[in-house]
Amino acid sequence: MTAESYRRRNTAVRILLYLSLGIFVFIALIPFYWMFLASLTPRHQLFSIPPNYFPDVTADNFAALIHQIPFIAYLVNSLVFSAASVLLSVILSFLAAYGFARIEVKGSSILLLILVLSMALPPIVTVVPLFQILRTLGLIDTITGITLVMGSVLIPFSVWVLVSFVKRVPVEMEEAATIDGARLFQVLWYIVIPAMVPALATIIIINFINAWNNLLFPLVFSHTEASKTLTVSITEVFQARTPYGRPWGVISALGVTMVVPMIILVLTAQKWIVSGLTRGSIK
Amino acid sequence: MIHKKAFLAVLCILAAAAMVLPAAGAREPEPEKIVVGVGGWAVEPTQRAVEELGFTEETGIEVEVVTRPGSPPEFLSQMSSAILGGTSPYDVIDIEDDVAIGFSRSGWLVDLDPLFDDEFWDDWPEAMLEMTETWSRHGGELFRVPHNYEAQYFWYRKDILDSYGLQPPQTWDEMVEVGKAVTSGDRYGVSDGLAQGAYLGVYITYLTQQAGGNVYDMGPEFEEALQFLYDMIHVHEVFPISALDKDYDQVNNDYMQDRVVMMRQWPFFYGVARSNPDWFAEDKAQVALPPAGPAEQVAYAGSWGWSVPTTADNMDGAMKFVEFMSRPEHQGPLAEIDTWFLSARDSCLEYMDGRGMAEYLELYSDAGVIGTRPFHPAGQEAHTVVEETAAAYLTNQMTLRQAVRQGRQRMADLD
Amino acid sequence: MTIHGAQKHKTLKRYVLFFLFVGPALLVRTATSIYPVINTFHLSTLNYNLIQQVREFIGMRNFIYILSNEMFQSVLLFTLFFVAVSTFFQLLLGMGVAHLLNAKFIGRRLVRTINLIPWVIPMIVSAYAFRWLLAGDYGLISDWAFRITGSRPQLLLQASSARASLIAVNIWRNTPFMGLVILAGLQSIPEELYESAKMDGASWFKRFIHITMPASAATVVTLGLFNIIWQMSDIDLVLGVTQGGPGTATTVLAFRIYQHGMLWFDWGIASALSVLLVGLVAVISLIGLAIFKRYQFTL
Repeated sequence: MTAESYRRRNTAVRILLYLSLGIFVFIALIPFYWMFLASLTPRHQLFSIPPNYFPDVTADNFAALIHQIPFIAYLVNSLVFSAASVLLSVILSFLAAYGFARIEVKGSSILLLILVLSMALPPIVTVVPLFQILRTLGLIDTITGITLVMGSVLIPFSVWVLVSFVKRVPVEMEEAATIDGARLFQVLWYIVIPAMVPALATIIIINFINAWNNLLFPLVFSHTEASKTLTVSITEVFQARTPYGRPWGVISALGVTMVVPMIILVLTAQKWIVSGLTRGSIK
Repeated sequence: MIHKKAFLAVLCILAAAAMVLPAAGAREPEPEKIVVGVGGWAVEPTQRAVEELGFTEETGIEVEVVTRPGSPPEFLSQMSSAILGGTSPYDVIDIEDDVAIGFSRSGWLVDLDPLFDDEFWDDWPEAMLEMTETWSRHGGELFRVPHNYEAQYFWYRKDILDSYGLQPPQTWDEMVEVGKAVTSGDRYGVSDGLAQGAYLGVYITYLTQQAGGNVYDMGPEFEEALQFLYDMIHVHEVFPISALDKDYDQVNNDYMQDRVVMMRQWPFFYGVARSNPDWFAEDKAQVALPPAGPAEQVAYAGSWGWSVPTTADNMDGAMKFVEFMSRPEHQGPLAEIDTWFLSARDSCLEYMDGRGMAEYLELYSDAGVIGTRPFHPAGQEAHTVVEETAAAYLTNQMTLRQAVRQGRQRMADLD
Repeated sequence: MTIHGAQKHKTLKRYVLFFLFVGPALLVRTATSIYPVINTFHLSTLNYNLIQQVREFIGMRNFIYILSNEMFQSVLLFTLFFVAVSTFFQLLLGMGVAHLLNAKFIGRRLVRTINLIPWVIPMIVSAYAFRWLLAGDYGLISDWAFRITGSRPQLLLQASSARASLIAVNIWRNTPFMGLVILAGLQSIPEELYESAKMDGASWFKRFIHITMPASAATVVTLGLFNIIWQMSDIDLVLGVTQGGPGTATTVLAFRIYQHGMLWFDWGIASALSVLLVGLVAVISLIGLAIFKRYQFTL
């Protein structure tokens, strides 16, 4: 192969590469373009044929969020629900992961398998019995109720990831510490947890994203602004807040407010998200 | 030593709080209060009604108007857990037909009959009484007092029909003829909001009734109605297929962008049309009687009404509120405040004297074309079966016969 | 105390400690997930409807009703079709994406971040965005099609195109995640291994089968399986894009469970459908476990 043809082939490959990249990015982002556009379009221009690619830009749809729905309450609920679910799941999962990784007892690996496999139990299947349980406990339409079930759903994946990270903490460090007479919880606090900060951060971020995005539990267990989250509010605006139609502009504005925090999170914490999702197999 | 000081300080604050709080709590008896739960759009009108009619002056009861969950299932599950716990977030609720089925069959609502004497019902026209019988009574008890009477109206563009020298259609066949005459390009003769999820079922119910049947029987009238709609879309092409993906907002928009000449719509379009001054002119949104189907000239009405949950905290106050809002002398002023309270009760129509939407309600009421919405005890599930059956046929997934056969089987299984 | 006794005491202490650590998580999972699933089996034998106020034992009648009903049959079939087609394309396109993102180019970090976006956005938001994008009269796609062909396709109003649209949105959503996992595998392979394989004249395909696949197989299989299961039990997508229509063309099992259970309060049927879904999930999990055993992966 001559240098010339090699270079020409190389250029062709480059062009193909950038073309594919362009298509890829376009497809990945197109719905958001359309949503951002709708969120800025005035109501009366929204249903025009052909669609209005350059509408008069308006902030009305965002203003409507504040005026037409209890947006602030939903936002606060979303944050509290996500944070509390993260806290619950991470604490329980960390303890469990340490137990599985470090304390050798018979049957431990089968318990771990069951716990991880319980990730496969579809949440939708548990909804009717859970509704009855929460109703008996008086936890319907409370953040406590949805946090409990969401925190639980997050546990298997968290344990699965954390076990592999605990195993990577050199056990000698802990043994040295125990010989020094340090109590187990001090070992956890001063040695294991500091060594696992990146792993914990990863799990915290991933669980937060999952809880923030969860629709099912608030959809079926929340009825008022006492515990409804943003994900439910978008379905609510879609079908019920006005009896007559779907205010696409407001739906889009709501979508934008939910998407922006996630995009910021991804931009800042990409590395951690990836290492968690791939269970640390990225070097 | 800092710790000790801080500890003491906290202790002092707690002690002070412990002394002050109960005192604050026992300051004076709370004024009597009721909580009224209504749909989000009705909060403001209800508040104004309570203020302007002077409910609190008369009874000494404060009223807090709050939003109840918008969709029936949500509301049902909220109330189911509250009532199981022996409480209720509301003393009075404003409920629609769908919710009324579930709540009344569950025995969650108080009998309101004792509030009213026989004379009270003299104010009600025959058709409204019939509707109340079907939709607001169960086991002989009155569980809901309707406060409005929302018929479906036939809106048309008088300006466009005039320009063709046409009159609004009187029958289905005429509707197709007029539709053919005015359909051109992006403009369709007839349209509607027919998205699945409560919209489509309404129109099918409406047409089936005009064909002389009850949609839930899925009899020959149901087939006739489906066939008619199918033909308007696919054969005569006077009705856009895209209507099957549209809600009321969108079809209203199409109408106001001159893409629709005739449509069936609920009374709220009256306000919608007038809130668009750039477009609006009287002859662009006229109402005619509904085109008669093969059997009947009819358009059914739905209604919302006041109910009191059996577990209401302030039962006495709740009953007073329902009685107050239902008084004949209040019906007119209420309708003046908002069409949300417009009904065909004599007292209401007399007071309104043909102003606003009352003109059209009177037109329909006098012509006797307002029918009662057909009832099915399984409510939304039955409604969904109707929609799925209709959509399968209208989108060419099945023949009419196949779709109806499946629909009948599913409907039979509901009982 | 004898040495033996001390040993026993120590073992006991270890068990207590183990359950102190692991117990809370297991307890929470049992109460909110394992018990409800078992309870669902019980509920599936009842005629239990909150609106009609009935609760009676009817044995297998719910299952007989479901399995003999044409509508449910087509729902089950579409659920399987949906998952199978989605998974196939996610794997295929996921490999493509992984290779694309593994290439060297300007702005790679940014593009890798963009790749994550479909996955971290609330599903319900992207579902509504797509519904709006696909809308018959006002949508972007319909407008472009109109400009090219002169007619406006009503994508969500025909069974076949509505199904295709739903599956396409699902692929859109899950492919990046697949790509990410495969990419992680690619990156764990030393560059030299590839180079020497290239020198030996191994084709792209061979390199892929013998080098790329083994490196990421355990993670791909595990996450791929869970991903399939999650897609089967997800309602957000259908709720947002098609609401199961037109007719019941795009109704999947999970969405039907939601409708019966939480919209119509027909808990007997909802639970029977749930049992069927658990059955499907169990079958897929068993296949997964078999693959694990066969290739001796570890958790």
